[in-house]
Amino acid sequence: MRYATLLAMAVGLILTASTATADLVPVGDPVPGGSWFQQFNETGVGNFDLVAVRMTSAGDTFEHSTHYGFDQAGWALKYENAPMYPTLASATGPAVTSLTWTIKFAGNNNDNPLAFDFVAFYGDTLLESAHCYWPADGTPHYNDWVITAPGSWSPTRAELVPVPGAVVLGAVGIGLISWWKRR
Amino acid sequence: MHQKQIALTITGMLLCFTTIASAGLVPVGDPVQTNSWEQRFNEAGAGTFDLLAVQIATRDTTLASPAQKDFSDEQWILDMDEPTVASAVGPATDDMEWNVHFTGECTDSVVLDYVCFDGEEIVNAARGEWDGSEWSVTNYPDGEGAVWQPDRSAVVHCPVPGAVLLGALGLGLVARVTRRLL
Repeated sequence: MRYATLLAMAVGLILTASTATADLVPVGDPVPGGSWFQQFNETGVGNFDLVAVRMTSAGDTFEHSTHYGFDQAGWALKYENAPMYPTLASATGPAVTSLTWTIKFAGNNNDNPLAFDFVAFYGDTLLESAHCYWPADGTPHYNDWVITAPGSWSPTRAELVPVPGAVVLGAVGIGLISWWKRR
Repeated sequence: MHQKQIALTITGMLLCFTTIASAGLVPVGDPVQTNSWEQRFNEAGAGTFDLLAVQIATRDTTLASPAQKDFSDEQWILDMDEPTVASAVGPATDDMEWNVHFTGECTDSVVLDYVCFDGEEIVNAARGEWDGSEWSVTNYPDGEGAVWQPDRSAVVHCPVPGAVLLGALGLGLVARVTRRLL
C-alpha cells in the first residue's frame, strides 16, 4: 500500500515537473514543402485589362501572390478568394495587347499534376478562355504544359473582381442616411 | 523564279498570321521550384498568452510566407508576415501547437528566436537552434536572459493608415450629417 502511495506521488511529481518545464518544444520532424512559379505571356487577343485563373484539379491551390512580376506598368493582383492558398485569383491593369507575368503554385512541380482555367477580359467582354494542364512527369520543362483553347470556363467580370466589403458598407451607410433624412 | 518568291512570301505571311492568331496564353521559360520546410512547435506551461512571434537570427535563412500556420486553435491568425519576423494573434490560451515555415531545405541550419506575450508582458522567450538534423531549444521564462525581448508594438501590425483615415473621414461625415438633420 505504501509502495502504491509512493508510486502515485512520484508520477504526480513527474507530471507537475513536465508541465512546468514544457514551454516551447518542437513537435515531430520537420516537413519539407515548397512552391513553384511559371512565367506566362498573353497576347494575340487584342486589348485586355483583366486576367484570371481558377484551379480545377482537386486539392491543388495557387499561392499568394498568385499573379506577380508583370512586365506592364499599372498591373497588379486584384483578388484572391483565400489569403494564402487561393483557388481563384485575378489581376487587372491598363488595357494592353501583350502581358508577361508570373503565376505562383503551391507544392512541388515534379510530382504533382495540376490543371487550371484561364480567362482574359476587356471591360465586361470575355476575350479568351483556356484550360492549362501541368502533367508533372519528369524534369520540369515549359513544353510540358498542355494549353487548350477555348476552355469551358466563362465567368462574368463581377465574379473575378468582387466588390470590396468597404464599398458595400459605404452603400449601406448612404442608404441608411437617406432613409433617416426622409423620416 | 518570280513565282517562287511570291509563293514563299505568301507562305511566310500565312505562317506569321497563324502564329499571332493562335498565340493566346503561352508559358515563358521553364517552371521554377522554390523549396521550403515547416516545423511544428508546442507552447505550453508558461501561463496564458495571446501573441506568438518569431525572428530569424541567422543571415542565410528567411521565413517563408505564411511564416506561421496550422494553429491548433483555429481562431488564431497570422499578423505580421515578413521574411525575418512574424507574429500571430488570437484568443488567450495556455497551450498551442502551430507550424513555423522556413525557406530553403530542412538540412539547412537555422537559429530562431521566439517570444509569447500576454498583453504587453513577455511570458516566455526561447532560442531554437536547428543544425540540419536536430533542434536544441533554450527557454527563458518571462523573457529574462533572452537575446530577443521585443516590445509587443514591434511585432504587431499597425492599422493601415489609409483605413484609419477613411474611418475618421466617415465618422466626421456622419457627425456633420447628424448635426444638420437634428
